[in-house]
Amino acid sequence: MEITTNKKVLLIEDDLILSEMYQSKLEKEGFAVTTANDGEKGLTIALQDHPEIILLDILMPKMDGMALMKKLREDAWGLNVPIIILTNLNINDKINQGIREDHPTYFFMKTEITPSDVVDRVKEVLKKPLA
Amino acid sequence: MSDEQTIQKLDYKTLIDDSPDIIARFDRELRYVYANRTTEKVFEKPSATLIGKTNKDLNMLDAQEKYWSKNITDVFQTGKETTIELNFESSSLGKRFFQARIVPEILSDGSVPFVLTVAYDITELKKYEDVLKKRSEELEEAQARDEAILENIGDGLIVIDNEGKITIMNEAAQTMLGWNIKEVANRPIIEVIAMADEKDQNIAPDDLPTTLALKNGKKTSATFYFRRRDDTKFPASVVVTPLIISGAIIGSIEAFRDITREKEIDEMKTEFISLTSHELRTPLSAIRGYLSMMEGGDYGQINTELEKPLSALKKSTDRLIHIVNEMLDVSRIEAKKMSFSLTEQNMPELVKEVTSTLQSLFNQKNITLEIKESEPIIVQTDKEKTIEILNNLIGNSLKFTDKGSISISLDQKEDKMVIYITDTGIGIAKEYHSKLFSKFDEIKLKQAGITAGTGLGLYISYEMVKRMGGDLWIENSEIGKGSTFAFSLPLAGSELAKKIKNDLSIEQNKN
Repeated sequence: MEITTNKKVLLIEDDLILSEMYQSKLEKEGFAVTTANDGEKGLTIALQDHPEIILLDILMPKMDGMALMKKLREDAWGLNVPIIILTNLNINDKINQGIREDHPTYFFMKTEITPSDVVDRVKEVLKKPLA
Repeated sequence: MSDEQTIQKLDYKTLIDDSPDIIARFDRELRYVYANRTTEKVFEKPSATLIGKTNKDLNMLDAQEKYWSKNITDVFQTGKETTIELNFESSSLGKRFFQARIVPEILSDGSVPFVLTVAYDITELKKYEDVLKKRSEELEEAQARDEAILENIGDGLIVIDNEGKITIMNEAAQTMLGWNIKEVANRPIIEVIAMADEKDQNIAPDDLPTTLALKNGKKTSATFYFRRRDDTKFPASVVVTPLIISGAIIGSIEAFRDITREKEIDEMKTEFISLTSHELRTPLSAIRGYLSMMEGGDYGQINTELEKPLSALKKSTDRLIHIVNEMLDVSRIEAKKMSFSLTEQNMPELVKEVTSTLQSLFNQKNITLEIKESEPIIVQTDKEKTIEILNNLIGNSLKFTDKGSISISLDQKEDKMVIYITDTGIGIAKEYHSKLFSKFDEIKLKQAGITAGTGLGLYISYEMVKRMGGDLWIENSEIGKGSTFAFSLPLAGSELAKKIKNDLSIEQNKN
């Protein structure tokens, strides 16, 4: 196993099939995955558990990904947690405005990225020193 | 009686005798005391046989005689002159119309021993009068009919004269614009009705379709926004036609239809496509994700017999994802919600980047790829979209070329970079050239074997290039001789680039 073993990943995704898919791939690679199926739960878990990285969907019930991210970036810990946005929305100005360059945020289209690509990105991001 | 008096009397008598009018004199018993020659002609009797007779004695038609007698009697009684109209029928002249003056001869004691009647033939005049009356009735009817049509059609209609003043504004136009014709009649249309474009900019008076119609005789057919009296606005499909009569522009007609509902339906359709397409992406992500995991051996070694179906599944999924992406692009173009992130890009580099990802496809089809060496050309563009456009054009060339080569060259023209993509493929018949970049002709094009897939790629590429300040066109294409497609983009730092950047940022802040 690699150095990423047991690193905590929080996966916030409302579609259960996709959630299970990313979870199984990440667990195979040795990550400790917690999942949340809506934005509110996602935020609560994030603030309690302080995962090392968050995979975040945008269109979700209760609280969408952009709102969640805004709240998270207001928190002292949440300010610097890397977030990988996985969405079906094309990047647009609204998303662009929500992503601040001084925060570690990455953006991928779910149709364009395979689960193993996701794992690679997660590993890459976790290797980077905090800004 | 002096000689002179005698001569005068004779002169008068000759004048009266020869007058074309019927002149007669009656006593109180309504008997003729004088009748001129014309009277003889009418009665076909010598005047001597008339004297001392009444009209009744002369067998005048009963109704005519009564009317005539009554009027003469009235004049005898009142001593006042009168003018009447009557008709008279005789075997030689047929039915004739007359106007007759009946004049009393009043003596100094007030008595009226005689009346003089002068009747002249107005038959011809009457005929003209009848024709005129009929014409004016027809005209009134036609006008009433036209007005009824104008008032009852649902389209707004405004007619202006050659000075641009409003002469007609129908009910529908009044309702749509909030004006009453009484308030605006004779006022210059440009002072009353403002029009705006899609971006909510008022059209300059010189560019208004009515101005163009009056000035240049130009017909306009386009979509505009009308401003109502209360300054709210509505979209309308507008046709302005100059009124030209024997070479002179005498005004113009503006016909328009409120298309708010159509716009709404169109937006709903776009919204629907956008929503469903987004929804499609979730299951597609799952299919593609699991397929890639299976291929990667996450669920055990793949049985060799399964390799082919798995690869087919993956290809089909990718194609489906591509279609969904295209549909989303189209819906964004339609909704004017496509956003651009303009940066400076070195075009020859970008071309290399794209072609390197396509190299395996070239190898598979055994097609040579030639890229003419070029100095760096820096353009202002959206990188991802430019990659999409290049993929699209090169991909299309590749699809329709079975042998030979595809060559790419770059050039600089004024403030633009131009790229040419030339293939040795099947080529496109001229009749289809103008249809290639519209999204509505895809089915026909597909049947003609000109496009593959959704065929929306060219439409999307065209719209994207246009929005970024460039153009996309067919430089050359002939059946059997291959095609050259070209597109341009503004050079970084050029005035055009600055303008486009500014325009797009204004627009995107709106959305």
